[in-house]
Amino acid sequence: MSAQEKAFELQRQVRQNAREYENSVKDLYSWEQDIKIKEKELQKSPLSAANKDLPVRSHVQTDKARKESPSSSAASSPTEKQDLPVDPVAQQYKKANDIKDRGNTYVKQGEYEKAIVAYSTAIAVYPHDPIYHINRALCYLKQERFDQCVEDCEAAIALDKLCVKAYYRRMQANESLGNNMEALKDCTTVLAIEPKNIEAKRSLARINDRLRKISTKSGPNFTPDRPGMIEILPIEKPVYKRSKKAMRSVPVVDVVSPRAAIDDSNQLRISDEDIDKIFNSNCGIIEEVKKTNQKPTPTPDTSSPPKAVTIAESSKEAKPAKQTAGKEAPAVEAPKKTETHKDTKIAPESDSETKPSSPKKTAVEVPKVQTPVSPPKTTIERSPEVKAPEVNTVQTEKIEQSSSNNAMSPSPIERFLPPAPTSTAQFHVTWKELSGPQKYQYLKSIEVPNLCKILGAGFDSDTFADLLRTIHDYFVPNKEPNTAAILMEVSKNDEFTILAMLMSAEEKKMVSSIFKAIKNWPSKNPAVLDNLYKEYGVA
Amino acid sequence: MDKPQLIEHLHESLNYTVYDTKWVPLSAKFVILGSKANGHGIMDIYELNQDKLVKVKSVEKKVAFKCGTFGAASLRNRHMAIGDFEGRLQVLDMEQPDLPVYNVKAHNGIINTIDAIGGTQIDCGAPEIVTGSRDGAVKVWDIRQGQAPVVDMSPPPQMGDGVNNSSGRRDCWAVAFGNTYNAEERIVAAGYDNGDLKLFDLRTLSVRWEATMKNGICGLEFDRRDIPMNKLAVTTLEGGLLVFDMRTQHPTKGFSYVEERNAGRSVGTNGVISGPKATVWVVRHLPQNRDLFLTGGGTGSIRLWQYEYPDRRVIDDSDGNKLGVAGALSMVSAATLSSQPVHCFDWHPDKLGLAVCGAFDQSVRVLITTKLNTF
Repeated sequence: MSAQEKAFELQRQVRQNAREYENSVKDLYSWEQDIKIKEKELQKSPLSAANKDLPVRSHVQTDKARKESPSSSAASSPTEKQDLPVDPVAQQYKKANDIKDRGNTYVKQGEYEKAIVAYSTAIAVYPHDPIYHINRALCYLKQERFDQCVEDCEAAIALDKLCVKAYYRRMQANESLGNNMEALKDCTTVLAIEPKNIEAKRSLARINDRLRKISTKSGPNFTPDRPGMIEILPIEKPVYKRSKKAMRSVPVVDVVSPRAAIDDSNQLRISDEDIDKIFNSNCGIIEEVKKTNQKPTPTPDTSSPPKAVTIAESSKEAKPAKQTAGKEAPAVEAPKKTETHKDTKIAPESDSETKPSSPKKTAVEVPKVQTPVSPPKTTIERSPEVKAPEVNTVQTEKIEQSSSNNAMSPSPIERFLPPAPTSTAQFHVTWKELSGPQKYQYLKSIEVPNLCKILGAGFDSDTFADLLRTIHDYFVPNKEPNTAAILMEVSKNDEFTILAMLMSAEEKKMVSSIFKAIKNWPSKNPAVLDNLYKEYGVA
Repeated sequence: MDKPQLIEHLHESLNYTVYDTKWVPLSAKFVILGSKANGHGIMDIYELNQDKLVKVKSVEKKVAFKCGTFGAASLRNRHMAIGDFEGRLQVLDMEQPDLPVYNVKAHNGIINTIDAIGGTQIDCGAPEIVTGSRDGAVKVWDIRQGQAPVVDMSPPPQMGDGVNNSSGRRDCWAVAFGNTYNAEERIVAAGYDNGDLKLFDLRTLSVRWEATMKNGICGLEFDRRDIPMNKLAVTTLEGGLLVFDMRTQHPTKGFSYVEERNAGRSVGTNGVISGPKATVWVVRHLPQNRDLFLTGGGTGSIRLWQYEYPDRRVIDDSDGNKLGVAGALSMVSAATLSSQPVHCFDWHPDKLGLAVCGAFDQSVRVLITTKLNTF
């Protein structure tokens, strides 16, 4: 029966396959006819080359490809293509490039006159490439024909606005001609196009130096480096510590009196237009304010200088207060966390705010520890509120630094509770910066099965002791149900055996007290406990 | 039992060795490139005409032809780029094949393999041809530029002692374009006789990645060339078939792959795999469905494979780096066509299931594959 069925099935299959094939062939024949008609139509349509407008790769990255290419061998068949592209413009360009290459070899040999002739021919053949002008400019520069050099550079810039070399060579020529202001302009342009150009940076310093030297006699208003000058350096901060507040422009106050020795009549005056040109920014006409050193600022809404001084002063006053209150600062955030969002809004310029908050903190610190807020909630709730004090500390820090009193207050306290780590490195970096209660929250946020992996190979005795302390101080009083599981997971780490052996007496005491506490909890599991005793080597 | 069937539709015996067969785009014609017994190159153009093949044109040249492609030609002007046994690359117009459109001495040795791109595809860069040769060099050509290649990836000059020269230079057996999803990006994959696989990035002119297979690489193809690299199929001597997932490059592990070691052996009618571990000569993805591809093996059999993607193509390893996950290969269908290796195969770009293949038994076959539309 089954054999019969099989035979039948096979027959059916064969028939079906045959039919399938027949259909395919029929389909193929009709397709053949269609495609032949289409093909005929296509033959009539005009010739079109494939993507002709795209550049040839080697013409984009000229030098490299050309160097790699082998020398063209003699044509061995009459149809072999010679090195002549079909496009007449490209052909001219190629010819010009060949002439330029000849010029380059002359330059290498130091025969600038011949090179200039070659480049001039190249420009005549193909006038649209700035490179010929730049190269000729170099030759003029070497021959000390600076005026012609400047002309060539200008021609190159007219062809290509971002031609760095043209600006740079014009700067060199101008420097040699003594047009220091022009040279400075070109140099800044070069740096604007290529901020990392070391050569240009060096030139900028050199030109500035020269301008300063001249300015001591009659030059423009450049002040020399003063010995007592303090340079304010930017502060490197991790992202999470940065202020989220928008930048505010602070009025600049020139503390030093103007150079007195020079007559006003002799002083070189730079018109506003010139300044605009130099800095490439049009600020419009600015009215000069007499009898003040203060530079007129275009933004009128910023606070006036006297106020800035008061801020600085008050910050100095506030500093001791801040330092004393520094360690208690978690308290400043504690009330915000537990209390409602609305009542504590610390204004950005309130240095006085730290003082009133200090009495508050003692009252609030205790509840904060005992009623922990679940981690995700805190991070969400806190973010809008903590901003204000953070800005505050950033400001005070800045002022402290600028007054060269580098008492950086250690401020891991102000940071948010980070999200649960996903990698070992992340854990160890964040762990070290956390305060005790935060460590508790942080440890709790890690899923227990991941803990062993996250601790990884970087698990050292400090972290271990810290971990035990956190469990002892926070998990045990709160009777966290997963304490035993965490301990178990920790013991699975590869480093654990050696760490357990090297436990100090204090740590051992801590461990045994933890175990004692666990034992008394209702949800104990004796097997797990026994295991833990064994792992931790505590009787 | 609703598997696709690979059916031999037409068969043409020839009096020369076939090296390559290619469909002429938008036509029912195909080109056969080969070598006559006297070492002359021959190019025949055949047209399908119901139940027989009609020879449309035949061109004979002095040097044997090895490989050819229409990839850099537009639909209208049918220019075929051909590499020959003496390292010459020529572009022939199918209408006037006597005078080459472009002709250059590209390599010192035989041009084993050729690929081209940019002809019919839009917005994927200039039309370019890549050739791989016995002299170990991989060169990219643009026929608008004269004698010089636009990119030349030659091995460094000989380091050996002058005696064991032959082992020093690698022999490039397979090249393929890929990753050309815009005008700038383009990658050339090259496979060598020692199993080296290299990815050259033409935009940055650097080696993107290299790896070494167990055996020499005979065939390479990206599943699609005009998208960001997705899959790369690699075939090797001794029956290796590897499919790399090219979407995710791990900084140390590179690209992940799935491997099939029995791809070159013949499959009996009852599905039993037997015979020696024969070379897998060629791999060609179905243009209409890039998860299906066909391999031609050394035992004269061809096999149709399907690649199944994994549930997640990317995972994070323990260091937080992205690691690609390869899918699985399953054989859909198989057929034995010849006693000799099937070494060239070409799907018709316009007609689903229509293909032409050449084997070393001096014959070409036109195949019909049914039920491909069910995938």
